[in-house]
Amino acid sequence: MKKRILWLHNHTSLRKFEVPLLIELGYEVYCPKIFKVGSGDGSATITYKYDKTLSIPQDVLDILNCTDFYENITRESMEIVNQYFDIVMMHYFPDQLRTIVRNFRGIIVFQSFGLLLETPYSTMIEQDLGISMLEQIKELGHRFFFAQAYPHLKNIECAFFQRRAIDMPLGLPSRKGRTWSGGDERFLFVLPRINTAGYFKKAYLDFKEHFSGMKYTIAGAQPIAVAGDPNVRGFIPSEEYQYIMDHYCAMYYHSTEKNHIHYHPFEAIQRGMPVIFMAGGMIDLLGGKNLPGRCKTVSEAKRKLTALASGDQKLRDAILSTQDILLEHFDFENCRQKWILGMNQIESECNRINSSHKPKKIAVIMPQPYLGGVLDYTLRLIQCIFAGAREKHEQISVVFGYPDDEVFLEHNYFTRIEDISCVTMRSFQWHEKNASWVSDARTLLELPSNCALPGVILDDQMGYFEDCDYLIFTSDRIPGRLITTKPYVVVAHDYIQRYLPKMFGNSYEAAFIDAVRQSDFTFVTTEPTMKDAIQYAGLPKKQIKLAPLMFELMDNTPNRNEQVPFVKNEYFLWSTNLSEHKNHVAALAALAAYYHKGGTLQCVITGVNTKFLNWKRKASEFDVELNPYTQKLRKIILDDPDLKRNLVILGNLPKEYYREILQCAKFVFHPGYADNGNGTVIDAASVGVPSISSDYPAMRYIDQKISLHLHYFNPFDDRSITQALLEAEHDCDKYAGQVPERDELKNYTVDRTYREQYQIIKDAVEGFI
Amino acid sequence: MKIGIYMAYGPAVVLGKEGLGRYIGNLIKGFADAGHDVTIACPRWSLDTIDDLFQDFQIDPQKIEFIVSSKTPAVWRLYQKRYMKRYPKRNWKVKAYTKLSDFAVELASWLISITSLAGLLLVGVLLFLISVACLPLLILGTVILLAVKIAKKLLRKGQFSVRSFVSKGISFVLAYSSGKKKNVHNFLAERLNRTVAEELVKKANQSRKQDVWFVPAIFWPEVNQIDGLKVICAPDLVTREYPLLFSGEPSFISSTEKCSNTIEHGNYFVTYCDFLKKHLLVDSFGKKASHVVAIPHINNSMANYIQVDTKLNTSLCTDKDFTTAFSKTQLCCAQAHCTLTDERYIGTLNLTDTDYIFYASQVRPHKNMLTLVKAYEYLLRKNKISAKLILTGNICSDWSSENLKKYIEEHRLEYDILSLPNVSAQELAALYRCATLVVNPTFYEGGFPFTFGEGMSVGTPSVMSDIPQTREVVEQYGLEDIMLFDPYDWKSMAIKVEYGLKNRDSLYQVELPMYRDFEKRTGEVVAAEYIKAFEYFIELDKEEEHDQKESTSYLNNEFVS
Repeated sequence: MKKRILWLHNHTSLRKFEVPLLIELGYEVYCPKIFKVGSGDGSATITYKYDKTLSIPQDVLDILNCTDFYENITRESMEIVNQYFDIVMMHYFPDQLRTIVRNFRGIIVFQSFGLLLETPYSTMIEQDLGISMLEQIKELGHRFFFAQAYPHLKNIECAFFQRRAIDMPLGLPSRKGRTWSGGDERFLFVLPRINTAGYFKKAYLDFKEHFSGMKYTIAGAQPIAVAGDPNVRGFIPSEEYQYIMDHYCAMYYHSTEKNHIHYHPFEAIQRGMPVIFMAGGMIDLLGGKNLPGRCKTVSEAKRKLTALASGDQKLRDAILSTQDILLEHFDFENCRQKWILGMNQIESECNRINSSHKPKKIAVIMPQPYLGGVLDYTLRLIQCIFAGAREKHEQISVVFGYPDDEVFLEHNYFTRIEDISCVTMRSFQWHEKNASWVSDARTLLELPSNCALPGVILDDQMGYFEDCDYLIFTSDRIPGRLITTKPYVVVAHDYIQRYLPKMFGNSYEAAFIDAVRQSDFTFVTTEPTMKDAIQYAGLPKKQIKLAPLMFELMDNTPNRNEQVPFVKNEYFLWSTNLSEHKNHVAALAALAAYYHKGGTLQCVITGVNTKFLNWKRKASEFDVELNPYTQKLRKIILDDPDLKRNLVILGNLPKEYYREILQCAKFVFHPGYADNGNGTVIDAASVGVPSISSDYPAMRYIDQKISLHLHYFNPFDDRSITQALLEAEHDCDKYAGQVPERDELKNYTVDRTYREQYQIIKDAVEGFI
Repeated sequence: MKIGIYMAYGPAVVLGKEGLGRYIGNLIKGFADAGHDVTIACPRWSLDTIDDLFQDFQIDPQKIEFIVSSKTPAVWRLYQKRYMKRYPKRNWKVKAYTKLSDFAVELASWLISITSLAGLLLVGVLLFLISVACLPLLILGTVILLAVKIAKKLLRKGQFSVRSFVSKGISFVLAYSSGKKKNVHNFLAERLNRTVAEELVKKANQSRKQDVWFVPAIFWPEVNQIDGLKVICAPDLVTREYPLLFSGEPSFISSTEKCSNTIEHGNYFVTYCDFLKKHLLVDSFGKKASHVVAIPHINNSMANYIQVDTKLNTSLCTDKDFTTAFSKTQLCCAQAHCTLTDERYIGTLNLTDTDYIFYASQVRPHKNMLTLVKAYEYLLRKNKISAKLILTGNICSDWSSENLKKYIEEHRLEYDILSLPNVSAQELAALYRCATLVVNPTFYEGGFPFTFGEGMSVGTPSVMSDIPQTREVVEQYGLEDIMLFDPYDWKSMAIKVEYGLKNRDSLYQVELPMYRDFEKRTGEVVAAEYIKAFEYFIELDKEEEHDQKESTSYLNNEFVS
């Protein structure tokens, strides 16, 4: 049976040569139908011409034809590709490379045509997709080929690319006859995309500076018109183009790039047109060092072009009689032989493909010793992976990484995942590594060692989590530039520091931002955080995945105790901590006004560190020195008799006790803002208690998703808060009636969200956007 | 008509980049295309930038005559060479070091590869002999180097640098003689400009007579010495309007004096708006209203810089907006100009999907940027408007930017407010295109702000200050309530910006009819208006001359009788 090739290019000239040749060599070839990368380069086109050569079902072909193979390969298309194709031939497009490398099970032929400025492809890949992508390519082993269009391209690449290099030269479709006859004193300079590519813009300006006063035409597609220069013709109709190629006295070729060359000088040579070119570029390597058309200086080029324009027969003949040597590399028959050899090598590897693949090992890493929401989120995420994989019968193992911190010795916080068979746990410490260490590591990875930067490494005392295939950081609080060879995602919960600039003092969070920027994808759980990830962290939208909201419902069994200790009257609950974004100053002012205006409910305050607000104890009685902010809050309370009378400060409570307090509250008060939303209102709803909340985007998002029917106030206006408190006291029964049913809330628990959550993780791990 | 254009800009002025330069380019083209004889009187150093301008505007240089100043004085050329140009550092030291170290490595590798002991001994003896032979040279070299270093150190310690001596001497003399602190550069530049401006006047008077001399700025009082009719464009005199804001920078004093002088002695004027005509020329300088014509700006479309040919869509069978896609690639180039924000943040920032508010302007006191920043901070932190604010002013080095910089740093806004100065025209067009909203918080402009047309030409609507220069235009379309805000009230500004961000598309639609009228103000149309104004002034001048003659003869007759 004929082997099929997914030929992922749209370059017109390249297609004219390669596709017919591959078909002739006995392959079926598919060409992509969607190309909308970047801002277009004018040399790409779409063709359906070769679809008829394919023996795949029409409905399958239709799906492929609707697939954007450059920027968004779908899972469905990838499955088809794996089912029907043996070989993928591709150039470098970052999103495409990631998806193909991670998912395609056949042979990957990475075609290199040389980059400008002698940039190695491996460097480019590392810059765009990280070291992890190079490592994944290495893991492809014999399934990967670095197919070079020119034999020297591999010399600047990483060792693995060099080892996997094969020659698949760029050829020119054969042409019949030489049609050039000359006669026109103008010369041709092909320079496309002057206003859309910096490289061509510079070449244009240099050219104009050097060649002004001469007669010439600049051809080449100009997606943005070049105003003010009648010599720049842009798109030229084919008849006129024929005339130019057959009658202009010469073609000038400017490039001195060592690794990249354009088609047009060779097309001119094929037609028999003299080519005047600059020395030092790739033409030299193709045998052009002694050619009469070669010029070491611009003035030499000008002299030769002037001579040809004025009909210098001798020079013309000298050029024409020698320049054909340059066509040898592109000669169809020469190329064909090399392609046969190359394809034979590829074929032999096709036969060695082993379809078995080992189960993925995913590390879920909590980067800091969190005990609250992030820990809960991390454990739920692990539960989701387990449940999702089990449902899909996919073999997967999970490593839970947590900081080696004494808080985890005091209490077992991980009971929820301990019984999951595929989960193992390991602690780690962050260790800083200097540039020299990183440089050594890069050398061992066979990468250039001159661009090493210091960073931090996850030291698990085993192998820095390098045994895992993929890392998921459940918070962006990574303390430095992360050093790893593994791909990873980061969960970004919020960007409070954007709204509360004093949160991080004078230090900026460069490492946190680096962490998300260098990740494969960033997970967020609300749209407002997604917005901040784009606007503040500066991520492209395609790099962010919106994960489902995921909560845990509180047990709603009736209270054992009739009376809540320490609270004599009816009350509402304010669950907080002592972070400034909890908006204590405005809230206390509003509470004072609330009591002044006749509010009767007591306010029960709970949460981490809230014990420091207990004015009944002197500041000196606490083990730690209270910070100025806490002292300020204590003073506000101490100075107000109403507050002293009505505030009941319970501090951080055990979960069960907290539940009992919550269950008896009239409502929950949430005056904080700028975070990713507050889980207390969901705790409250799960036991049937309503909430009043600050009006900010994350709370609106959660409310809109879950229909909590929150009642809002402006957190920056204490009158608005007071009013909301008074209304809540008055209407608390009505508010309670609006709280959603417990069953509705269950839609946001692990049991009902794990499928979506697992799919998002799977997409990230497999590189689907 | 024979039109002379007098422009004695300083050597650092690049016409193509400035709004005024673009304006002049359009006018010259309009005059030349309409068949008028154009002569430009300019300093020699302006020829390059004028040449670029001609290329940008497709002006045939053959159609234009030039009156050019003599060669630039040698003192200025030397000064410029020494103080104004930045030459790339020579890297010969690095190259030499690399070669030397390569050689040393090679030598060492060869030495350790020698297997015969006798051979190694022989090489060792040879190396020793060579070293001994070279020793005197090495010692001499070291002595010379040490001597040079010590001499340099001594000179530095004693502050005996020739350069600093001369510079300090001149500064001292200047400070002493004028009683004002002027630095050497200002002194030289001013003197030079004046000499060249005077020379150009002299040459203009010696050349053939022009029907009218058009002067596009008020920086050169010398123009009043040109024979014949002069029409001076008086865009604004902001330093006189807001003297306290501009106090503290000596160069503003002399430039304001020059501008006032030019207006005072001038006779016929063009302004960019009615407000300036009345407020500046008629009310402040007592010019006759009939001697001033207000001609609004040419529309400054940015579309040509970024508009991608739609043929691309056809060949790729796609409806993708390649213009926006291309513009987004340009944002990446623009962000490389960033000052203020730290490199680590900006280096890998991806602006592709970012919403931002945009204001293209230098930082100047009357541009009111601090109020914009305060309004923005309120929107960001209290109203949760997630967009960034991008400015093209240099917040780190523009004159009067200190307070702005301090405020941004103190409020930790460097990641959200980006300062991208010196962007190219194409990058500027892209910044306009990708912006969500253009804002102009200025207190004062010469005419209706360019920012409106620049934004709308690439699809981005504007909100702006409610000042007479904007109101006189916006009111005609009944848009004042939608797009104008009180520039002295940050909250009013914030409300309008928030409205603009949330209603971008509808704002664009309501501003479109106004922009359509702006669009009609092409270079050709405006040049024709200038010609009409010139004709009017020529007639008026004749009439006044005639009247004056009559009144003189009447007076003479009276006197005789």
